Amino acid sequence: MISDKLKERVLILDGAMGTEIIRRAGKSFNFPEILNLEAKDLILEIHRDYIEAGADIIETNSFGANRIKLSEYGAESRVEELNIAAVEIAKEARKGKEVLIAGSMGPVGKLINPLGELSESDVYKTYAEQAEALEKGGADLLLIETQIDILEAKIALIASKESTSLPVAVSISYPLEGGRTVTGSDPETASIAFSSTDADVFGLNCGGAPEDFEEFIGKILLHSSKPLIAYANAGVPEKKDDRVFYPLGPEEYAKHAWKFYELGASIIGGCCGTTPSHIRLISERLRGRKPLKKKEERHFFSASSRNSSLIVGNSFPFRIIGENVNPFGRKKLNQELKEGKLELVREYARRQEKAGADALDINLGKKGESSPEFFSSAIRELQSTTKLPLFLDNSNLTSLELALLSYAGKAVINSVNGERNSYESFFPLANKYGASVILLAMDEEGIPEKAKDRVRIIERLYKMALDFGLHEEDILADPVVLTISTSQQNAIETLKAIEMIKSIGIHTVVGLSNLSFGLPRRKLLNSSFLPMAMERGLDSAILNPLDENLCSVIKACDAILARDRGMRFYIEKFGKELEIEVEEKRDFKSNAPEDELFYAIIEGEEKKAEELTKVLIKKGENGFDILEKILSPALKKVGEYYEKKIYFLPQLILSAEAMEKASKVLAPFLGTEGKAKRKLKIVIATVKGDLHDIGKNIASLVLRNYGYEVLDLGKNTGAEEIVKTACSQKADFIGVSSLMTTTMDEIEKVVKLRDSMAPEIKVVVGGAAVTPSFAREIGADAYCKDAMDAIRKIEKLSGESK
Amino acid sequence: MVFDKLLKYENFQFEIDKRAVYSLLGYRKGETTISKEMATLLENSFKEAIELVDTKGVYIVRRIKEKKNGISLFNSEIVLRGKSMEKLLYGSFGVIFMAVTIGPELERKISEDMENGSFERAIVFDVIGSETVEAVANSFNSYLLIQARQIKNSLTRRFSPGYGDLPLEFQREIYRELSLSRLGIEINEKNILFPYKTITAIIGIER
Repeated sequence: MISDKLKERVLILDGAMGTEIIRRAGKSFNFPEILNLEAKDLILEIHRDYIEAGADIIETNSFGANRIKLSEYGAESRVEELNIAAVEIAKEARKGKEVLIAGSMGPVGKLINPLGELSESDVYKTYAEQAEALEKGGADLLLIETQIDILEAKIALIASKESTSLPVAVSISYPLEGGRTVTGSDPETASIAFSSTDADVFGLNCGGAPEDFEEFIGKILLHSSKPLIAYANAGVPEKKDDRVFYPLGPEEYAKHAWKFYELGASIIGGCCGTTPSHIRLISERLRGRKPLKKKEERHFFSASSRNSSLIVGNSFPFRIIGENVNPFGRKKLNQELKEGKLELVREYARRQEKAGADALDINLGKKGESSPEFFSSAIRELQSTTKLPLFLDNSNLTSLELALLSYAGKAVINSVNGERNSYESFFPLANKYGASVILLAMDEEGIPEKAKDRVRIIERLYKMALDFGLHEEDILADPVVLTISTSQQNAIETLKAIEMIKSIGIHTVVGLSNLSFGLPRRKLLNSSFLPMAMERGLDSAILNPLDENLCSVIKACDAILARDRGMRFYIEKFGKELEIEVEEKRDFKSNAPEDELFYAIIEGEEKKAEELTKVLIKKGENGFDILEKILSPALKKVGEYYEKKIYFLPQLILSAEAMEKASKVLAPFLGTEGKAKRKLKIVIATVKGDLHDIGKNIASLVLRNYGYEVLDLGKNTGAEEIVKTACSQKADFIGVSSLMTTTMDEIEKVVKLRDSMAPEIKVVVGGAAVTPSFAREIGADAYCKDAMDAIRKIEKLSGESK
Repeated sequence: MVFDKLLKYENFQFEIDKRAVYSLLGYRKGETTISKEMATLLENSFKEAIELVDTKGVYIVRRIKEKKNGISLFNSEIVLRGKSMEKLLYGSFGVIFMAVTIGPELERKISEDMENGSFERAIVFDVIGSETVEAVANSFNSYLLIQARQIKNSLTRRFSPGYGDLPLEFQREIYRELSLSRLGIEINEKNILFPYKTITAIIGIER
């Protein structure tokens, strides 16, 4: 009925009920549905005003009249009574006029497991009960509205369809900046999720600003061929003198409504804050107009999860469907699944998502086939593990149905083949849940050897799928990859089949890894086959996303075959990869070990530095000369590089480590000259309570290699221990650091203790929380910004700056 | 937004700002030159660090009771004092206490590297850890904002102990409020948290 009308003209939906009750009654009600019994006239008057203003559809006052919501007021047993009363009032209001009554069904107010505590069947029963009551009362259609979770909305739709014979409209609310539902679905994703369900109308209401609706409508229509319903709030609510009000008046709102119409909406009305005056103006402007929505040609395949979508098609990049959640050939996973555990499954899912998979194939082996509860609980858990759309790789009808019921979005059934019991059970299932399918080139007689026979099966299945009510965008075809180890013709036939299927206009997928089964260097074979298949038109494959080389090949082929427009993804991946200038090894002519050692320190090559020092010692070089003429100048150079920012911190550290290795080799050969010159001694520590010592360790390393004798007392060291050690060891310096403000008082303790016990020892301080002024205040001798700064300050303090 | 219930949030979607990591390590574009080996070390460290990160978040929402002599809350003994809190929560009717951590594994690895003398990797991990917990806190923050927007509320900015006149000692109160010991987080006598890469914060909820 409604769809016939929509062919003729745009339908006007009424405006707000809730805010209108508040406006007229002068107060708000926690439980507005009770007014259907207690203040019938108020509701009747609102309906009448909207009809008089020109509404073609009025919504019953039953938004929260579901069992779960009503239980908050102890009214859970009154579902039928309140809904029927709601419809009765609407019927009375429309007497003698041609107006449709939409039974309003809002969210139940709680989320479904694992986001919340409700089970899918709780939600199903709740909506079924309300829908039945609304139908019994005499509603003409059902409006599942202001939905914040696409799974709840989907279950509501299925429940309504199965328990009534009414047309059903589904409307989602995107309340946020950035345009996502509370549970994270954007309009495009939500639209895909409902594109192939049997909702009669799909759209959006409530939520953000009406101007956002304009953008969202475009996105929804990319994927939805259903009549679009749009009714926004009268602007974003503002607060004035403790009262919330909606800023847009009838004229301003009507302009937005006109825009909704121009963009392709066919049922237009108002949500919170709109009044009969708003609706009157909309009706005046839109009455009698034909819907502008054109039939979009969609030549792509789609699937979605709650938070992301998958589009497969000629002009889109090749899609990677992760194959790793499959116990075949994976012992550990197999074992885990046998034990009923899902840890590895979740880990594999996460890893594949990180590696860049676009969707995941989920095959839980025998356990998944034989235990529907296990499979569906895995699918439920995976939806909170990964945001990627899932391919349900299972051939047990019950497993699939349970999983589909708990799946938020448009899942993919993998797969349907040419056997009668396969297509007769799976196509209706896909249809009921709005899922996509993979058609497999196989029938009762197995997988045909020749490409043309495989294509014949696919063609037959494709036609049947359309007859069962599926659409082009719900179908992928798999011409089957077989291993070339049994027959070398296999790959050639698959390539031919891909090309033939593509020429009919069906999108393709294959399970890639089978190709190399039983052969060495499997990855090589897989990554060589894929470009050939892509050139023939392959759109996607189930493969291992952790194979980096394979994924790089895919990116390259996408660029070459113009699937990657403007080569955006190719350049993103390989182009700017953080514009870090990488320099080749410094080019120096001399092969003399002296020069090489010098550069080994600068380049931070520990092993080389160690080896070359040994070589020089063997050659009879004087240890002290090596230190003074090669190592120290090299490290000094590194220090200069660091100061000039030519080097950054990790390089400074690497050089200091190389220096350390070389010094160790040198130590026994330093002889009397080395010892003659007394090294300055420094006691270094991180103060009590502070467990973070990275900075201190670096300072300690660098100081050691600049020729200081460093006594490192580690972290969490008491003031007394620090100062006492410094005294007993006759140290020249104490270096202390603290990361946090709460431990800075410990630094002060160290300084005070030094003042009383050993005023001749200098204290230098540093660490994230420490500032120069703090250092001055407590009477420290110097503040050091970092390790190099410490060297400078200590040299200065000891009056022997070089 | 649920009041007075300790809630967990685990499924973080976040991205580490590599640029920030490089810059914290002292890299300056156009000035610093690094070798291929160093670039590889960094890239591998990013990958390894991500594997070692185990992000967890928890929060609780409290309603503000009174705003005199500090800001007191319903169902909580916490009183928020000082100019910073007064300013932050000026227009708020509720307060979110939140904490996020990236777990102990990365820090364990850092200590290990320190002991084995791989200082360069330790420092890279350390900086990545800091950036990661920051990114996670931001992601958590946006999640909370989503929750708030749903009921047409908005949030103030995130404020952590140790800034303004809110002492670092306040971490202990948040620690208790959020039962952080249950997330495996420890606090010592100086009110320092372990894992270090943990952020605690306060956010106001406004209408």
